[in-house]
Amino acid sequence: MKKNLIFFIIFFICVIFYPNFTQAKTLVVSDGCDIKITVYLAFSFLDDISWEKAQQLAGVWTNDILKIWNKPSFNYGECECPVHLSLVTKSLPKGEDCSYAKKYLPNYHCIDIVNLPINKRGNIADSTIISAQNLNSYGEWTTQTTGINAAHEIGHMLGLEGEYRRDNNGNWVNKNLQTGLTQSIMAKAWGEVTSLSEHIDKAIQLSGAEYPMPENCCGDSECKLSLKSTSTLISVFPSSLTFNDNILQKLFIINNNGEEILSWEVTSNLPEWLELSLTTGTILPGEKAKILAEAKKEEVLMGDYTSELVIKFSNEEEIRLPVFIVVEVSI
Amino acid sequence: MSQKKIIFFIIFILIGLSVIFVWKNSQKPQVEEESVRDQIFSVISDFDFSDPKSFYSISDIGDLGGEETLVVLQELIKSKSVSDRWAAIVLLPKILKNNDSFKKEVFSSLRYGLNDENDTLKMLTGAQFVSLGEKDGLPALISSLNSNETTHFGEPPELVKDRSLIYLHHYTSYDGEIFDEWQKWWDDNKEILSWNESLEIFEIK
Repeated sequence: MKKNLIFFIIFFICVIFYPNFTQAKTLVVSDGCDIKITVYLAFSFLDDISWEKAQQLAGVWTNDILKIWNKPSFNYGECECPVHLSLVTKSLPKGEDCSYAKKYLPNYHCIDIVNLPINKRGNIADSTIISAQNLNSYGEWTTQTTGINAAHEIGHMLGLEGEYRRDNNGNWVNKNLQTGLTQSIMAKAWGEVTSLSEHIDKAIQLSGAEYPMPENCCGDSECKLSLKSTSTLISVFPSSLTFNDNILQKLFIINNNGEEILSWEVTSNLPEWLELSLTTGTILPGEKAKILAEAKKEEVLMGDYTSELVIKFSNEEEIRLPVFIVVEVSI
Repeated sequence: MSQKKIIFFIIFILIGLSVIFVWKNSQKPQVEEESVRDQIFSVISDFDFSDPKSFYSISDIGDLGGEETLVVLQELIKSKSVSDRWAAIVLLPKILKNNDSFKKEVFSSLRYGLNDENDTLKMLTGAQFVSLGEKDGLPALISSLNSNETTHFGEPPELVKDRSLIYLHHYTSYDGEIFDEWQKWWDDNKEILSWNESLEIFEIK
């Protein structure tokens, strides 16, 4: 009886705290003295119009996010370690909302996109602010969300509050006025805006990571010399591959929109029914790799089959590409 | 207690619970109608300009299909309170999501917003109209290009004129930038604009 009770208590604690053990999708890691903040972000384009504009919208948002959040001057701590932000984005299969991401992409923040002037909360774009208790962010943006809007929302995904309030008449009031300087992205989403060093400090502190500095960094002059504003932005399009009796070949593209050379490799075992034209390669900054995936229908009996390609990159990022085949007439 | 008494007691409890269940269900429709009205006013009463997030609770209002909801929103769109009017402008189009039969009433109520003295509300009403394929919203969006105010509602904060231009670009295929260009475009094309259902934009016939 006593044993059962202990098991029950352990089970109960695990169930209650499970999300905190597994969810964390703004990651802070250090490589030498370089600190990298990576935001994993999935988009769910809910209707036909938003789906059609998916690539264009994701492109505008990611470009502006990286432009606003990567400053060469950003550094952290006594060693002045350079900090840069990267995004790993993914688009959910058509028709799937963020509940799909909760199930299949628990490591990603997720944003539903709607083709409406405002979302259900009356906003252009919103996302929950992450904290130690709520490490995944969910929100709803519209097809009319701008790059600056998106950059403001990424701030929330880094754990930052909005730096504005409205007075009794609804007029906007800046709570973090930068006298004589460019104003904070967390205070406003128009005109010229910038992210601030204090944002980066807070984001690193809120990430829950211990001070991610290597012990031998302090006092090493190399630390201060290695300021850089590199950013990687990898995307795979489409975000899933579905084959059927009639469609047995599909092309998918890996985009390197960052500033680093990336090598990649499909590390997962391929299912027997799938062949790829390439399983490894290198992509220059701004370039893309096209890979032909071919389903071998003769290798499977009638039914639905699901698999996943795991693509690993030289910067240690990883993208998972779900693959499906529906066979109704077997050979 | 004898076994007979225990069985009698359980049956008594079950009958009692059944009576309460039936009675509660018979009251349900009235409770639901009441609750939509109460819900709307409860949400609105918590709006606080110093806490922009207090307005997010507008999404907590559930069923918007009922006639009573329409009556409440018709009151709110004429309210002196800017927050009440904002709630009406946000919620009115949602009535049409599940119930097209109130289209005439919704548009006629929403029309008040096109002349709202608050720039944000006027611009937002214009956008709501246009997103539903009603070109009457375009002049409100075009005149909002002259506004110098920041948006009074919604995250993230923007300039009314910037947001208005984004809506105009999104819902038409014209790439004008300033008020004069848009006004001329409207004057030249207002009679020949038609709504493309599949693309959800206005096109010149």
